Amino acid sequence: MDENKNNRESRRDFVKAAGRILLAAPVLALPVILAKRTDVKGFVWQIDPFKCTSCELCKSSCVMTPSAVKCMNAFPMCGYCDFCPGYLRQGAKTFNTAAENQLCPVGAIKRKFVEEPYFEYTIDEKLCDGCSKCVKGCYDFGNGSLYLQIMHNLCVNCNQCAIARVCPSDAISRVPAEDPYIRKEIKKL
Amino acid sequence: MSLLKRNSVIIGASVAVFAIAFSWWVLSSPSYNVVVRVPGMDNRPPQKQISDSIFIGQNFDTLGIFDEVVSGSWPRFRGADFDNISKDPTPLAETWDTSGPPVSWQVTLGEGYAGPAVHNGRVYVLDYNEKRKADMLRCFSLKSGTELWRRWYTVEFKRNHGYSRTIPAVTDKYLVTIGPRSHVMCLNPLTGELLWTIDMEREYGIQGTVKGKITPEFYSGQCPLIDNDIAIFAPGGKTLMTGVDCATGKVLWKTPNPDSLRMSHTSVIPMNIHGKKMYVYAALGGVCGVSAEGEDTGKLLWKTTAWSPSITVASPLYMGNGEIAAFGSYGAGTAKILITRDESGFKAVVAAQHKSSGGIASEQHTPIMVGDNLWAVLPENAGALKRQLACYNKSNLITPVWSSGKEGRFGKGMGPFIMSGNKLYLLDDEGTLYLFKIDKSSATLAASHKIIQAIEAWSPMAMAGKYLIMRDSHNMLCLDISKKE
Repeated sequence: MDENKNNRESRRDFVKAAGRILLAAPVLALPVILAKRTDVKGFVWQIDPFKCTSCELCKSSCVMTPSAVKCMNAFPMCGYCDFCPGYLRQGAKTFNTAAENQLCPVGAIKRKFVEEPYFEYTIDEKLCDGCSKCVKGCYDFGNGSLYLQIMHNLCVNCNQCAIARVCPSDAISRVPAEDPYIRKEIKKL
Repeated sequence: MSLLKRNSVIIGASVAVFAIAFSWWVLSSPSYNVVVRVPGMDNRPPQKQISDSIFIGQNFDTLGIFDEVVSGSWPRFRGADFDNISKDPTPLAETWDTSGPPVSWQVTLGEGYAGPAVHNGRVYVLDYNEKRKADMLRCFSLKSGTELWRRWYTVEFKRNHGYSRTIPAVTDKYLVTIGPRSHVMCLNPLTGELLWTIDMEREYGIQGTVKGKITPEFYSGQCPLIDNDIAIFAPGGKTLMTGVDCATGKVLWKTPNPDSLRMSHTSVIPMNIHGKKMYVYAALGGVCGVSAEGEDTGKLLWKTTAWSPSITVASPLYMGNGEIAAFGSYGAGTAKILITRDESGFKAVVAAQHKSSGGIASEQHTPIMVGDNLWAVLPENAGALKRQLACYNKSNLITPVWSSGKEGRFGKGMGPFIMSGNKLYLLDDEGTLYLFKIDKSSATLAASHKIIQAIEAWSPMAMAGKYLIMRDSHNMLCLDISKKE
């Protein structure tokens, strides 16, 4: 009889203990879950080109000099135009590679003849300082193939990205490190 | 002195080090970081005049049978009065139900932005047939969309933001077209019989010179003008403007072009300024007025080279009191050109100008003027007002009297708009048609409907009778916008 009672008590104890563990588990796990959620490991900063408004703050706000933000050309979207509004400044009377015609202040966009009337535009990342003048020109008047991205061979992945803090259109956010670039041509096409 | 002597070795060594460093600094290139940017770095070969022989208007196909003439006319770019306002008395729907305005017919076109002209129950479009590589004037029945005939000629050129661009001009007797590479045809609009042709590149081009090039970047966008049976063109090159007798093809007058003004994407617009009828043209390089009446027809009356955007598409607009609004694309903005007249003749000055972000601007479509107000869809780079429909009083082109607001933005701000009475029809680039009711200087949205999933619906629309004809890059649709019982 006593043995039966002991058995019942031990079962009750077991159920009680299990209940306590079940109740306590989420409370104990919560900090771990929260910590995991706020852990930046595995994430990098990136610009959403569909939110970017070419405000030019990427050039001046990045902790790197020159900025880790560079221009990219989405070739499947590019019109390969002779009159490229991302390459030529407004009011240019002739369409050629003369410095006075170029929109890019540092000459980072290279224009190469393909065949009449097409030209290929590539970016010299070493020269590009992320000023986004070309991005604005291309978006306003062209196909919008020029866009900005944070280059991860240059970015130091600050805990709080200095550009993200000042970006007026909230275009900069963390993205998974295994997919670190937002390719405009892939999203668009 | 003794101090100097004692330290002479140190001083001498210092001077020597400085001299070596200075010599190295002077002799070594200080410009290793300077990137040379001069013309020709893109390896573009010298541009040559295309030497192909084009047999303009060579081919003709008879297709369907004409059904009947229905009322309505839109005989040229911006309509009969060049104001983009239809005066047709047909009552139009005040709003649309969820199915939108009915589509009467729809046809597929080659890629481009060429718009329709409508006359005597027929719709004319200068299409580009990509398979045949041909400019193709296509004639459709306005009522049914049945294709009646085609007049075409092979002309090969590469796609550069589509192919076709222009709107034909049509009267009872003549129909005139300008193709993307500046080939002109004049035909009988009923039968399609070819009357005469001009190859403007050959006729007016100056070989080997940039300023003698006729067809502009992205191909010709100039819509022809027929004025009293005379076809008016502004080719640039050897001739600024010319008048050709529609009946014979004979050149009646030519305006010299000493300033080497070039063909732009705008069209020649007749205006009556200070009691004189003139043809006003916003060319590349300047704006000019050419006499359109009297013994001095064809004479250059005035010009200004002070307004010269690199690309200009919207045509000049006369605002009265000698004031013309001229528009530049790619952010160039707008200029107010003041024309004065005294005993010595006409003079033109740029009285004011602003960038696209600083007032009224138009990337492609000429604003519509109603009373003292100008209506336009502002371009992408118009700052806070970008892509909005806005209304400006002609006395103040800087601050709008009304705009459609943040929620009222339309595509990329490049779609067309047209008016009838107090109704303004606006098509955004992506194929949604909006119907606004205009009340002097404000507008109320009455209806909207997604007509098609459009790509670059940039062509001007046409209104004829109860029909509104619109297109995107590949499709032309005829909508019935009449009021239903």
